Amino acid sequence: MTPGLVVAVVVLALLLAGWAVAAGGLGHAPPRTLLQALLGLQLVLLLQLAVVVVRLAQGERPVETGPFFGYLVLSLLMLPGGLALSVEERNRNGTLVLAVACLTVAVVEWRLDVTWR
Amino acid sequence: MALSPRPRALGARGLGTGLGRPLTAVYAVFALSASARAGYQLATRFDEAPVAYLLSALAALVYVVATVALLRDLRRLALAAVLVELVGVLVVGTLSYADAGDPESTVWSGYGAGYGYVPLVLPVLGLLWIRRSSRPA
Repeated sequence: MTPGLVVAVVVLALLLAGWAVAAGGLGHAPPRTLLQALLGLQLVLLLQLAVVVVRLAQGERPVETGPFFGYLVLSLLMLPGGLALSVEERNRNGTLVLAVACLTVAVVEWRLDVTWR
Repeated sequence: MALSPRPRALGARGLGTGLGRPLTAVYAVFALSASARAGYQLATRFDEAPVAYLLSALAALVYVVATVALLRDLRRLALAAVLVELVGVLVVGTLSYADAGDPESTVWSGYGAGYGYVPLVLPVLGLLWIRRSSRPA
């Protein structure tokens, strides 16, 4: 995978997870700025999808095809899924759900990189 | 625990609400990833280790059932699923050390070492939460 993109996603996801844990720990509902940052992360993940499509079109192939595409799909579902689970909980617990989603994005991104090489 | 269809104390909240919501989110992640993993194993490499891959599918099923039961507030189903999960991770974890088979064959192998031991901690948190949320808030 593109190293810069992988590092960016992992670092951003971990930062947002830390932010969400802190905000949730302080008893806050998901702050609007956090939600906007999550949208930003999702856009980076969509950009990554575009990069993958281009590289596949150029004839590159992941080492572990099945798992790679599994993780690729998961990477795009995590934040929307987390958001869906958090909307009914407009309190600290909704914020913690978003932390779980961000942590999962970081792990999935790492797996995505491993299964590509 | 009373034998009513929904043994929940007055004032207690739903299993999938409050602190149960982030817990449910973790279960949902494992339901997704374990299902994807088991589906892939069964579809591509079932002949290599049928028992391990069927266990993998069982693990996936347990996580799916637990997630749905938490979200729908089905207490007895949630309790059953989490207990099966706990027994599963302990038994499969022990067996995977004993016969040193493929350490990556199921989510529960090596007590969930491939998943940061989250599969070992999760059922304990699940049981604590089911117990706590069954009492009045």
